[in-house]
Amino acid sequence: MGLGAFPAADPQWLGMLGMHGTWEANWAMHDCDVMICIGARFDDRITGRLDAFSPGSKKIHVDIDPSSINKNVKVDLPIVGDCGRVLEDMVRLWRLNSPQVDKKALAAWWDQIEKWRAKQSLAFHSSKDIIKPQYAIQRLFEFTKDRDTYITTEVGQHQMWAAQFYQFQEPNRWMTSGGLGTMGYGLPASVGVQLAHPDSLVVDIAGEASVLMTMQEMSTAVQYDLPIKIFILNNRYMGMVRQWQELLHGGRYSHSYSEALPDFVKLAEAYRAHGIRCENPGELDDKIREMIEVKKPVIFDCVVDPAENCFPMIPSGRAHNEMLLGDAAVRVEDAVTEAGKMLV
Amino acid sequence: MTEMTGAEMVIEALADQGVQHVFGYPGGAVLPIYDALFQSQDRVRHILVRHEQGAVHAAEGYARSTGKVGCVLVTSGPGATNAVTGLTDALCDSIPLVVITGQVPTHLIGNDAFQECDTVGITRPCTKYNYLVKNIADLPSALHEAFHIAASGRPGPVVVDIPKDIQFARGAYSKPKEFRHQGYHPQVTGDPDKIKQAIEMMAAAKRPLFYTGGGVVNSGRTASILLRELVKLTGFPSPRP
Repeated sequence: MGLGAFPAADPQWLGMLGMHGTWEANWAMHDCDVMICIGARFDDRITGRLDAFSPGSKKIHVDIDPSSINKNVKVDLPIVGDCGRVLEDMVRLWRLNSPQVDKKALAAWWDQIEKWRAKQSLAFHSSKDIIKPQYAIQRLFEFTKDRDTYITTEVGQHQMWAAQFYQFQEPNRWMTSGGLGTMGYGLPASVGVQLAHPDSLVVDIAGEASVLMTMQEMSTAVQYDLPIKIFILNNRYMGMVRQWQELLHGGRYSHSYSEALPDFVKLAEAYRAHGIRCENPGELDDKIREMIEVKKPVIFDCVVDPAENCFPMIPSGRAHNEMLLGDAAVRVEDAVTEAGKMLV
Repeated sequence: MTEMTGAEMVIEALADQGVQHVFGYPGGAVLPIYDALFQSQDRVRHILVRHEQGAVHAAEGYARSTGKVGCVLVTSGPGATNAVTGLTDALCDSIPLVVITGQVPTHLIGNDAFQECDTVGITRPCTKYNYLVKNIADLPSALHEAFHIAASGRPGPVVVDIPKDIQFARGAYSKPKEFRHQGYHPQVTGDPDKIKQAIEMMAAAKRPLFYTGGGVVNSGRTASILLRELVKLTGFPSPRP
């Protein structure tokens, strides 16, 4: 939700937190001694197992909504107020007092964080034969980072890969259904974003299952000349459902595979939009360039590795220090407890 | 103070609130408002979607990328129920929206009329606030309050349900000079003593961490600039949900 408020390229940035957050961000949450929470709400995707959430920290919580404070996590210092106003006071006071911080302790903390970071928890196996979804987002980022770009998403694996691999530098550039998790959000959201920013590049990073839920809004985009780019990471699965079935239900992929999908290029053409299909990693760059250059709405069918899973992952019912990595040392079937199966 | 119909008041209020775009889908119970839109084309631009859920998500995208209130216009019954997913989404993610729904005429409410549903009942748990306007005299203040409530405090979606006879009724319209609501005063400024205490806790930290979320983005561009400044000043690490 807050991606872009702090630039992802900054060395002080640890990456996204929570269920699919980075190793360093989650371990730092677990081991910190003072947590300064500003405008976030300790939701279950962030905290993991509540009774093991950041056990040794004093927590400060700044929020404009008093009902969000002490709701999930008991905090030591609640501050009700607008984030901007409180941050302004904090910056002023910090400058005024110029407090003597424990430089030695902070240096040791950063050393520890760098060790966690060295784990490279977002690493994935690249391939010359098949497009890895993470690679597709890295390439999309390369071609769009120097443009005035807005990103929306649908919900699922592609959404998490977008959050992990698209490096947001500015606020208001990341439009995703964070709380409700609404599949079908991204396409109509991109219509709204493009209308507000007619000269900007607006890309919906989508999954093929999500995007079919609100696909009819392509017709709206065409009617109002809104050149949105629907960048579908097509793995033919409801990927996050499949990943959970792999983790929790013995790989029995009950109804998470789409037997019949439309031809997305023809579908684009039927809407009088522009369709592109890409199945080969070698062609990806040129086709992304084509997508950006076409002055029409585009449906880009990016056929990706159907077996790829989204890591790191804190399995449901587990704590931040029980995260799974891509080349999981822990066998995934053993990672979720019986109680964890009950959680979502 | 100008006399006009309820439908005209909707367009007046949107224009007075600086709304440039409204996402919507017409239907029987909002026809007077669509007629008023038709007759005042240059004031507010209407974007015709293909499904009401799309209208709400489009308004969410509009709001999140601009910091303005997103605006939606849909009909009664299925128009309103199709908007429910978007309303719930906006409530979860604190997105400011004003969603205007048509309703069957007041004398038919509760009659199982065609395209009737209990919009305020259905949307009560998925809006920050909602209105059923049963008197033309209440319409101007309800519309303007809706924008104030949507955008202030923790932002969220507000529904204004307007029965068709109220859209036809004539009344006096003016933009309220100030907003007076007995029970709604979001606290904007933080307690100075607590902020002082926070600075002391931060200064004494050995393993500090910023955990920041969508509230920083919602608070406006300045909040992100201040966050960057504070992180630089302190030298603390910063992950984010």
